[in-house]
Amino acid sequence: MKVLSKRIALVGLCLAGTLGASAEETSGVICRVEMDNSVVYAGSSQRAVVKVTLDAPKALRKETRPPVNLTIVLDRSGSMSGSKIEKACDAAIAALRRLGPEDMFSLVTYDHEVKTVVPSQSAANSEWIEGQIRSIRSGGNTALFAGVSQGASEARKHLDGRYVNRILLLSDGLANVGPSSPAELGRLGTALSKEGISVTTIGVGTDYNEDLMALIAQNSDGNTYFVESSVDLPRIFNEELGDVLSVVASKVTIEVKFPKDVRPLRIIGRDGRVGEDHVELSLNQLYGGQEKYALIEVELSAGAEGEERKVADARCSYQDMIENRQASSEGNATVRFTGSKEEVAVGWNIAVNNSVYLNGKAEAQDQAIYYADNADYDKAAEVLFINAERLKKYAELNDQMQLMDEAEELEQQATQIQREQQMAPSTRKGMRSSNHEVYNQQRALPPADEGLAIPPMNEEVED
Amino acid sequence: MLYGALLLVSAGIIAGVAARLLAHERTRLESAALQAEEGRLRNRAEELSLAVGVVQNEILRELRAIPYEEIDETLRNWERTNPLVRNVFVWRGPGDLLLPDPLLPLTREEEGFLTRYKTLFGGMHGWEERLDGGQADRSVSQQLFHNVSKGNVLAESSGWVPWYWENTLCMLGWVQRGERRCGVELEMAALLSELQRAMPLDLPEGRALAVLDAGGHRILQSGPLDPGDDARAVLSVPVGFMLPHWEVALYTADGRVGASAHQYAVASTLLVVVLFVCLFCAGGMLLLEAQRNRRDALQKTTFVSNVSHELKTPLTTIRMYTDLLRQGRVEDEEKKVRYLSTIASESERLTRLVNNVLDFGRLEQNRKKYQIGRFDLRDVVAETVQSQRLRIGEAGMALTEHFPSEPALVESDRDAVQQALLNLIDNAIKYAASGNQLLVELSRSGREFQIRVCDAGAGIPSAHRRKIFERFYRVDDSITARSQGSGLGLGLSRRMLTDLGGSLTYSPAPSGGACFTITLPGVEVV
Repeated sequence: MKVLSKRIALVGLCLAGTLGASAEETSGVICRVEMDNSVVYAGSSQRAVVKVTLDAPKALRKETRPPVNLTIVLDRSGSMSGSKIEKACDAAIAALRRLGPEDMFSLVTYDHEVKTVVPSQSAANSEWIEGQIRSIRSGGNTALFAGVSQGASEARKHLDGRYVNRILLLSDGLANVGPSSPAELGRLGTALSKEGISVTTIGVGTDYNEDLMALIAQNSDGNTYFVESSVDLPRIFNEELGDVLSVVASKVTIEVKFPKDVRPLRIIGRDGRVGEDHVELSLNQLYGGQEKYALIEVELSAGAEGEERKVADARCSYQDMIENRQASSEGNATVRFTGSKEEVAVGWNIAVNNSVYLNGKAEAQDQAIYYADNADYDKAAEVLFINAERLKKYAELNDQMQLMDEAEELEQQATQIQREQQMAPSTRKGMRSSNHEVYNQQRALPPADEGLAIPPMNEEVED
Repeated sequence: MLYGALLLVSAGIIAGVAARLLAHERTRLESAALQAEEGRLRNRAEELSLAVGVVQNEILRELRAIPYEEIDETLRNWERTNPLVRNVFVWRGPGDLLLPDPLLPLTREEEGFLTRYKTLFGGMHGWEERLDGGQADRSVSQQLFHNVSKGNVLAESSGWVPWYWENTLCMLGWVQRGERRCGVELEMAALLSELQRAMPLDLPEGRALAVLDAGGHRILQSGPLDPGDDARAVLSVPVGFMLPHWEVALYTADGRVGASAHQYAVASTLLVVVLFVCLFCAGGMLLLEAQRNRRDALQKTTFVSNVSHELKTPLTTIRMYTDLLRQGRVEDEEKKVRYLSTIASESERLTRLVNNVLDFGRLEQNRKKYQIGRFDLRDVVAETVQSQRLRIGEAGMALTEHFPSEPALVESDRDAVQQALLNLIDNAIKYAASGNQLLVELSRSGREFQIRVCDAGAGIPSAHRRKIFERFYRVDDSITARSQGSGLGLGLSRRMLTDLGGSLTYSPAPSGGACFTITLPGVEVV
């Protein structure tokens, strides 16, 4: 089992620091706003990071979960033949069996031609559907765009607010029929996300285009997985379905307003709109018991010593999938200006900083991929080394073992790239999917040998 | 032979002409198929163009419907929620862009957007509709659609700007609202996704339909065939003014339109061959029939002259002896008796001949009646041989007879059997006297009786053996033939014996002569 995934051990840390956050609704999604440091130096303008965290309520009982509208888009091109297509069919059938009669299921296959094998219908008719899935044979080219388009049109048949809409795209090769650049497929992901459809992408083997697969998922707020061996497919499908079945909120938008002495600079990791005095972000779906966050870099204008300043007002509005209604929650954060070095040192929020550093690592890896693609391996290694050094320093200072591991991984990658003067396809794919996990806070896959439980890492940090 | 050659040539010419006509027809069919396919392709192109047009028109309509004061907010909302909208803008003039505000931090997407349309927003490029092709290129429905769009637009000017950026087509739709020009950039991926659904799913085997962009890349494709990267389209037509430089193209497995050339070639070759064979066979059969008729006519003529000759010979003999006797010039009693017996035998011969001719006539008209009775074959054979003994002796033949000791009872026509046997003996005397041997043998074989008449003459050449039982057939058919005969005896005998449930067969005798066997079913003696 070689699913390259990194657990993001932030759940416990986030619980530790709730400074400045407020929670109005406890039953729905909780919106928390935190600063990287709630105490800042007075007298000069400075940069700070605001973290807006959404906490979705814990997983639900089965009866109360919202119905799912699942579309599986299966690559049946020639390269999928043999055990790959068999495993994929097994996985699709396993996924089907987890659905209930109120859920919708459809399946589209594509080679150079698209075929709707199972038109969108209730998952109750599972016997017939299984027969259809078993009849899938492989052969031909890869019309990925057309496959996703057809999948989307099946998903659209049940596009009312009641359903959790999800397309599961599986591919093992390069799209070579129709639009096939990451940018074009990414745009399709964006368009689908506007319709409330998330696309989760599963890349099998080492021949697919990870940029393309990651971009569709990222733009439509789905997950992305890199699977080296088709043996793992049923497990991945199962995992993904666990997410889909636990969606509690959809069409989530976060709007953060800033007072006039706070200027938003950029959103770290995610794409969103940065206005003069506000920031807008949208997410497609939130899973039960999961935390998603956005990091916003702001510039604080100089404050007087002792001044308390409200830095951000966040409002999160979403479709509550359990109650099937529109809902919202709010939160805000403040900072205090001080002249005391000690006070500033105590005010650091480790959870927020950890997120910032993790995103920094992902950004560095993306940069390294960029350089490696341009055959500048030394530069790629250099970027990774610099970031590893920074991360290591931070981890040592704050005693963050998890981040220390991350830093070591970066170092290893850098050494390997420098030594071999190339970036192995599996390394590149692993980086892309782990970066996506960081940016989108995809629920990390636990290693197979540890089962499904994710042990929380509670670390009380005194600085 | 000559007739055969003529027939071959004429059939060949007709078949050749047919083949040529078929080839002509093929060209015609192909061009008709090409035209039909092109028509279908044009329809597809028009459908696509209209589908795009509907989307564009709808967006312009909605743009115009936005209340003036809510433009910014509504556009922002569209950008967030409308899958067909990629970017939105509000523009007041060159360098004066209100939305997205270039002074504010931009999203990556917005940065790309402003880069793409820098020259347009900077006023370096006209906003007038840059449509591909002139009016003449447009189909009627496209023109109608365009005119309707135009008509709507009259109140407030608006339009679509097709924009090529890095070899991909982008589209910008705009509406002038007062001094502000607001609009959207179409999400081409979503549009393509829509169009993909409009592609036909039911194309026949070996075909593919594709939409090609300006760079000749297949951006949409459907159909069971995968044309491969460097395949050339069989047919292509421009999509239309809504999607400049785009084409709808048809691919086929063999690079042809219509039924495959191979199939057509096989079918037409088959047709020509059948025609040729039919013509040749029919002609051949006609020729054969004519030849048979001619032969029949000849045989009948020969028959008549033979019969006349046969009749004339005994009559001459009878008349000569009768004259001699009447004139009383023969005084020798012995001579008288000899003359009288010759007259008797000659008239017998006449009777036999006349009987044969009569029977032949009856048999030909199926009017022959048989008198069935029970009799002993031994009597009939002995009687017949006895009546001919003198002639056999005169011919210099030694007669050998074999009869069984038990009675050989049969139920048959006595006269017919006698006539058949007589014919056989007569033939032997006539044609095989040189052999000096004649064997007449009656024997029993199981339930059947066989009468064998074998001579030691020249026998019958193998080429004639199958034909000797045909009517009028004679081995030596020339008028000048040495031996006389009507060609009736054997055919008649066999026919009668067959009618009576027996048979007449020929086999060469071991000594080289001819051996005829009459077979008749015996009667069980209770």
